[in-house]
Amino acid sequence: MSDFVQITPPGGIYRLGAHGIENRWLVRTGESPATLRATANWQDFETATLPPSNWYGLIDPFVFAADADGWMMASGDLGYAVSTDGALGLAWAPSPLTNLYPGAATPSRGARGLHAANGRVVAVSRYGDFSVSDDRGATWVRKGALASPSDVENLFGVLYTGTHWIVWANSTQIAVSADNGDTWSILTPTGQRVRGVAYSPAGWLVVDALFRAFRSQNEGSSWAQIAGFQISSQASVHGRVYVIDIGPSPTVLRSSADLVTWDVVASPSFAGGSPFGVWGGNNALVVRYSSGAYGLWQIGPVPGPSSDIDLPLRLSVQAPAPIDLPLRLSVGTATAATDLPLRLSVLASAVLGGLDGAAGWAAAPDGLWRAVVVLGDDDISDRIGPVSVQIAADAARTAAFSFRPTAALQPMALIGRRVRIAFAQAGGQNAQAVFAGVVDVPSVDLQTGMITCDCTDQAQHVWSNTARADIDALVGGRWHVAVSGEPEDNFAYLRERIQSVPASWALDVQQRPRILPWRSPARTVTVRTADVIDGSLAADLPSREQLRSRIVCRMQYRHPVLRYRVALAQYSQPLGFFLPELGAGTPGPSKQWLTRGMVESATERMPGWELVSRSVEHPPARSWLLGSGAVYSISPQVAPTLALGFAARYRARWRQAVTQDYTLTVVWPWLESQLPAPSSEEIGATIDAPFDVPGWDSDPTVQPLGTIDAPGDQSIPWHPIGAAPADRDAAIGTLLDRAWVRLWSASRSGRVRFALPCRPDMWLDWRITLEHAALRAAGDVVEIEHTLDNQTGEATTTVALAVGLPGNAAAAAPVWPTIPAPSLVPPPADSAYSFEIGTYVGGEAGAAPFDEASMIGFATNIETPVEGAPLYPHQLSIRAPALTAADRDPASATVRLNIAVDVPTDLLEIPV
Amino acid sequence: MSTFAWWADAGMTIPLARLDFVRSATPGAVDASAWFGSPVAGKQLQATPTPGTTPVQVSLVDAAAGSGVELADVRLALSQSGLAAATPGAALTLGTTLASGSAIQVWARINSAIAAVGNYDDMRMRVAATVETDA
Repeated sequence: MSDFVQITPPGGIYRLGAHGIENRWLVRTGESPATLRATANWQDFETATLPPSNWYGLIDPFVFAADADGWMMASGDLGYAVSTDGALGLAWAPSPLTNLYPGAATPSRGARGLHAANGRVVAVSRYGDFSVSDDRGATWVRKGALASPSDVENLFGVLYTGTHWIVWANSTQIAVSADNGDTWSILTPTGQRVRGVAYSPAGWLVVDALFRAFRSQNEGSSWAQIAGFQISSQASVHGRVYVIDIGPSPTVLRSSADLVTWDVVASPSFAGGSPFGVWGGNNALVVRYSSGAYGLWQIGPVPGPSSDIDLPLRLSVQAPAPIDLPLRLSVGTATAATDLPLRLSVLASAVLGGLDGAAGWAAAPDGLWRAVVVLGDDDISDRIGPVSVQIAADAARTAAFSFRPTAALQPMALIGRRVRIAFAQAGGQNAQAVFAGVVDVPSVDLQTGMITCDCTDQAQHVWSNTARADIDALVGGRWHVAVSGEPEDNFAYLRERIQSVPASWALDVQQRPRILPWRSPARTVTVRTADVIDGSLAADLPSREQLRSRIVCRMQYRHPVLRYRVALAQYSQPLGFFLPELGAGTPGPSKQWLTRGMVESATERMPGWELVSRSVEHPPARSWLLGSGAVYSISPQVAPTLALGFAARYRARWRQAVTQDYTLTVVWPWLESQLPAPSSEEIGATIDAPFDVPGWDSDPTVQPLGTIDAPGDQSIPWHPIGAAPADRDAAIGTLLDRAWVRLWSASRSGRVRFALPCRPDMWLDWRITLEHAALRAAGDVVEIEHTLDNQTGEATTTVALAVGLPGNAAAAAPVWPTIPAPSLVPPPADSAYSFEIGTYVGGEAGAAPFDEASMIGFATNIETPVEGAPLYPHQLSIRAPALTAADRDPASATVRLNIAVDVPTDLLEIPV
Repeated sequence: MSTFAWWADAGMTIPLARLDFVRSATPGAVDASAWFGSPVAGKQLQATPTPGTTPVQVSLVDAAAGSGVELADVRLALSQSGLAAATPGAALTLGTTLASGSAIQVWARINSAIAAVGNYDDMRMRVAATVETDA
């Protein structure tokens, strides 16, 4: 079955790409330094010129793709390039893009996997992001990301089965598209990292990190392990899958079309040792053997023009080399069972009920409470004094209690000791947890011997240890570094991000992080006059200074624009200008010639401009019979030194700083109509896009190069990663969200406070409607203090509600309008593209005195000057068009917009 | 001793000694969650007998079958929205290899007909038969 012929790629194969047109292969031979070669017959290898990367040097070719127009290649992070000589693959142009995965958490300008098919190119980065391009990589749209890829170079890839795209990234996930890359599904075939994928017309094969092979015959919907396989390498060729099975005896296997049956592909006689690697393409299979030999097997019809291609055969007889497979025994820690006890606490309904605005409620049904305080592992409930617990939105939960120690105690040893506090009925039933945390500050009353412990629930510590991704999932909202700066820890990050959503944070009684949206309670209760402890009701209404009717959002986005300009220096005179006897009209005196030397000297150096091309028009070398009977001749030796005219094309480039200045005012018209004057504050952000390409200003060969060739302008806005228009829009969105939340938070700065008999189950996710004879209000609970004082008999809960402006109306979060981006680069006048080149003739009657400053152009004299007439220096000068201030000076444009919003209001009224 | 444990928060700051469910005497479902993982870098947890293939599971253990909370009263899921479709009493698979550094959130729902006031401690979640190695 083996039809291999031996091939000897110089330096061995490090990476391989195959191409359908002209049956060419592109080979990276040798690992370092990289050498890129192309071949059609595996005998003759042409060395390609590796393209420069954008910023660092040569692109290290790693993955290849090809379509009908030529090749594409990429390397991990160094860049992406396209061949400029079609299928040859010997000349390349690097992409100027700095990120092929717009919107990715970690940008990349390269790829670990690449494939072109069906009019598209798909790339996957080392970070697991994958993108699709419709224009061979000029632009990309990121389609998604595979979770937690492990960056092992050759374990990434992209392929097209003919109906589906498949992307893998040494992740447990693969991405699949059935609509040519428009939409993608994420699959988890085996639960282990997928290190390779292959396909046949009736099945897909994945190989995972345990070298197991799994087959799907329903396009990834389900996977079944092919028992007994240990796959190290795989390839798809001409409708079959070829694998290297590294079981007891490494072998190349070939599948049936449905991946059910497998045949052994016998190793050829020139191969030494075991098969080591397999690549497929061009209807051919290449296998490397552990001896270093390579075998090529042409499978199926060969595309391209039919012609005989001789391939010499070589029989190499080598001594067998030992093949070692190291074994590893991992000795781990056998773990005991990790149990988490569950407790279901069933409390009397009366304890949790009531507060329905109707009849009285039981609270502690017998009115008697006891605090259950556990300090470390010790229940000190029988030795404690007053206990208080303070709960507040956007703050840590704190508690304080006093107790008398029964044995010698080192107060400092209390710091950090765990504390649990519950309030139970006097008999111990219906215990409700009210605090869990640690001792923060112990203190001693030397007179009484009582130890007081101030405790905290460690909220700051918990949030600091919570990953940003978890915070993002909990909070939602938006955050941008231009608005908030880089936070010092994740707790600071939380406090910045939450400003974009109408919500508060807290830890619940089991110290679990929670986000509490405003006006979205878990429980709504009604408190009556009879429920409130006499004399405890108080209200602090919002003051005018606290209110905000508008928030001004300022955003400045500064970035350079790379300007390119092509201008033309052009001059021409007919032969009759120099020899009037050869022209029309009455002949006059001839003039001194314009010379090639003058042209070259005048056009060679032009400060600020790069000479791109130059051509000189010479007079013909011939003789003319003049009307006077004389003969005028220009010899072949002289003609090239004279000039009738010339054309020189120049290119200039420079950077212009542009600033987009946004002033977006979020206004609450209803509140403004209530106030004598608007009450506003300003928030803002600035994004400065740096230009970090050294040498661009002085060296015209430094990328990015302009593509303009004809006289005119080209402008390329410079948008580096982190300072692109998408970042500007994200920062603006963050500012607008924060503005609306600020309006709302300022309006709910009122507080209604009251006390009621101890209610341990009350928490910050309650919304209370207070129907009191002195005040009607409704608001979210933002502060709670539980107090059990066994000395005074107090058992109370003091509550503060956040109450906004009256109106009791909900309002949805605003949908922000699209903010237009201003256009900043003005079009220049046509004169910006032409050089000044006049014509000045001296020695003739009426000639003005020569003025070096104003007579820019070709200055000549008639051959027989008139006596007394000024003679001009015989010379050529040209003047380049100047860059105007509008071209060079920093430009800015302003966008001003008022956006009206609604903000929710609450119930707050004094009954009559 | 394993570095993998139960935690109150995703950042694995607060060790969790017990997961509490509180409700009134009116029977109904109560949900709560805990996090399972190890904050120590470079570790992994796998299950025996075939580490890397045998799934690591959270199972339910009833210390007093026939009284208190029963297995059929408890559902486990990896998300709160997944509890409705979870099989009562069934174990929950966390994966075949758990890497340290990031915790997995485990949701539990107790929907019991118990109406008598009191604390019921006969049920626990258990991760057993595991081996911890360096990743």
